[in-house]
Amino acid sequence: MANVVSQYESKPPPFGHEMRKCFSFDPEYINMNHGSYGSLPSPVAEAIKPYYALAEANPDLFHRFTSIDLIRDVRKRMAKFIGAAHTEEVVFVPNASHGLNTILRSFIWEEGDIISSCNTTYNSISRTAEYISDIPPHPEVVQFTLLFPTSHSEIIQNWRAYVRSLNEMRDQSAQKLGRRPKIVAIIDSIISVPGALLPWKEMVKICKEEDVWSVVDGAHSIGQELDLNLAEANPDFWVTNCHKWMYAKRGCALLYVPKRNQHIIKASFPTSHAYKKGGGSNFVEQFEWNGTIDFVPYISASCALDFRAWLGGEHVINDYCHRIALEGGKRLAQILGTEIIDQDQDFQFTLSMVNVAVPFPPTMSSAFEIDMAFRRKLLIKRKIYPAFFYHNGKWWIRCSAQIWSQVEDFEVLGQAILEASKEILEEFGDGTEKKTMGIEDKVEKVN
Amino acid sequence: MSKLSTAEEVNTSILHVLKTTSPPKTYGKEARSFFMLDEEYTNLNHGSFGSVPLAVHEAGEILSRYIERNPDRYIRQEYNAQIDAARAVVADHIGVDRDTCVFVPGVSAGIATVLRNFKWTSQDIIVSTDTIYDTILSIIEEICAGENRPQHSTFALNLPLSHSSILDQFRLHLRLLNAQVHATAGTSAAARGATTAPAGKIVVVIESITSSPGILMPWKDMVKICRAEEAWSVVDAAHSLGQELNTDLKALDPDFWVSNGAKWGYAKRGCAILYVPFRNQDMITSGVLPGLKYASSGLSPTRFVQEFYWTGLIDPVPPISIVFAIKFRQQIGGEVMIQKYCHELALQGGRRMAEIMNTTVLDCHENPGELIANMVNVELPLSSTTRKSFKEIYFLFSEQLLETYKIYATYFLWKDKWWTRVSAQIYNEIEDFEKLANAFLEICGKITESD
Repeated sequence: MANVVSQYESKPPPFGHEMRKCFSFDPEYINMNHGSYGSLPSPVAEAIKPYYALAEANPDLFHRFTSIDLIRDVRKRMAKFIGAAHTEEVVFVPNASHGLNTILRSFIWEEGDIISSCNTTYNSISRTAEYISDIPPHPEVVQFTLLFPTSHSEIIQNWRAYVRSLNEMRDQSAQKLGRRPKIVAIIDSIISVPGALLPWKEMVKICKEEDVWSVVDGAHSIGQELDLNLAEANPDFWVTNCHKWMYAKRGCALLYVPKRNQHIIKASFPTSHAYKKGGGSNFVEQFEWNGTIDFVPYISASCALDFRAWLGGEHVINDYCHRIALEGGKRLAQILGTEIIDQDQDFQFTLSMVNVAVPFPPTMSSAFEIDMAFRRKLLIKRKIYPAFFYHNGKWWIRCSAQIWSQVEDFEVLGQAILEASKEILEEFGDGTEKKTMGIEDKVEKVN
Repeated sequence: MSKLSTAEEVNTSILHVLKTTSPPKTYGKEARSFFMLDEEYTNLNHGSFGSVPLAVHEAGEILSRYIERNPDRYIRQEYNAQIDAARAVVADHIGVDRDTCVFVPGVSAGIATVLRNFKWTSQDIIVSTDTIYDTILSIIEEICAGENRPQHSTFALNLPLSHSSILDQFRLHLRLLNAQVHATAGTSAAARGATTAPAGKIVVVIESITSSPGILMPWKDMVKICRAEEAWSVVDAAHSLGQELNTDLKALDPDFWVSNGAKWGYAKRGCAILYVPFRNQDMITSGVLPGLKYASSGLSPTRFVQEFYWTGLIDPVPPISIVFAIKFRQQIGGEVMIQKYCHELALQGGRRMAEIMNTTVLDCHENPGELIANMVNVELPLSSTTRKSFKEIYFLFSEQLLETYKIYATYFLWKDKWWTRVSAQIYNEIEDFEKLANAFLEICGKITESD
């Protein structure tokens, strides 16, 4: 079994470029997009090797007994970490999309029901909502509009008004149908693009006051948002990716369902052998086995927490990342001559991701090809990469600050973007001549 | 070792790892060194969780390290092409077109996705055998629960039966169901004053090789009968890849077919293949997770293929590992040599175990061996008068086998008797079967004694 202590006997390297020693990056590559796909630290990769050896030494012993016990223990640790009241409220799923799909498809949809999403909802999740709306009995999808720049208090105000308007819609349907339909709201804790922390706990509270289900997409939360306390925040459903900001191996996410709501989730996906016709209270059991997969990513969540503890713990890690995000973002905005998306709101949306405008004229096309062009010129050619996105009439850069980042990286990025955006302006024009068509179909999600 | 910083270097390194010095003259104990199994443990249950060859695992590790060098670059620029290449290799391996094959996380997910894409009415019927894998049964039950949902019809198999008997009974079962759906349509037409009404559809979930017991079914002929009776065929071929030669899918043309690369195929766990012929691709509007667009750039695939590119962020390595596994199997002798060894050992081993335990092999009398692929089911010498409960026996077996005797095969209660299902692999020899038989003799003896 992995001897955790021996790996972490020496002191960790300092944060910044020296911390690259703990990762497997191509030495020529500057990773400023941790937020999309995460990164597996080498010590965590090492720590999980014994589990792979165990799985292969005796696959039956491992899959029928050992892994089940191991994962139960990890669930206990994770439940504590996110402040769930009970371990039985937390199960593993392969990723947040999977978890959110399970929740949304578990509801028994009826005529008159409303699914609320947002224009900033993660692309694949809003498509899931559309998909559900496309099949009978066709619940309606209504969208909350959120445009930056804005502030937390403005969002809360608008959200309250919006949810009340949904209730009015519902009251009208109720009269016609003779029963009260349900409203299910999908809320991001931290939006993907822009990478922005929302006042999600207040939004959840408003949902409760207005008798609306709250389904929280917390994909970016664990490992980036400090002091999670789900029992206190009390959403109806909550999902997060451990393989993003928490350093677990890809294929590891948490689905949180408080006991009072577990009856909604009648079945996992795919359905487990533990599924009971007519329903049963075996939420955890249904998620223990959903086909033979690689279970080590789930176990890696615990190894990741060991690594993070060695570095000094959550506050130490996030204080560094947050500081670099702000300092780096400011430096980048300076070099580009543009702005940070929430600089007038005291950076209240910025945790470890900072969003800076691209120096394009306001007429610049929103075409998907521009994102592709940045990818070629930065990721491939210049070996440095943040994420790009188009929002409310502008192109933006989303930079992820991590423990290997330094402000200098943002300076290198600044120069690279200055060059690249000049090239793109030449290639695409500034949008005042014939407009390049933005091809909706190929709009690619940014994680 | 070079730093493996380019895709080319990675490929070279992986090929190097997959090459062995020379294929072994024969399999058995010598082949154990190809795998990662504990030296003291005798694995006779390859059929449940598979076993990854060390070379495939190492190739996967090389790819993993490469991905970590630049996750964005890999996932956004290279992953698509790698998945397309892997699909091409698998498709070629099973004799179909590349764009009829997509990866799914597992067979259950694949079957569930197919069944969810049907537009069900209450006139429809889903058919499955009574040996169906319990997870698939749960999936069917979930689909049949609620209003406007199909019915579930169980095709009971009184095994052991010869393949021709199975086929006769299956044909009859489908004809009866057909008559039923047409009668129902006729009734509802009459009720509406119309001359015709659409008949419900019949969707049959067929296993190629069942799980408990592990029986080779005449699934190809069952697919043909489905066609003749205008029923849909959804083949749960979880055990087929790497255990059955010549699946001949293109000619056979089932409606849907799903198999696990990580069972008998030597891929890493989390690798399964869904085959959907072009003619049925339009009806699959939703992938495993609906609506996710592909994350990686590259030539636009077909809409169907695109639907299955991305199931959220997962480890990219398992689907691609099927390529390593297929290459590895070629290197160590090829499909025919591997499967021949396993099949003959299963037959021989089953006979030997029945001899030692003084019981019987589950087989059909008319055509001995017809029901046996590379797994064999042997009755256990446990008296039916034992006073122990099912649960007690179940846990006693696993504890004793795994902890005391360090050997394992699955076991199950079937028709009031306990049986073991034993998997034959290239790392097994006849002595393993003997060891297992003697272990069961002792354990069953202990159970009866302590009654």
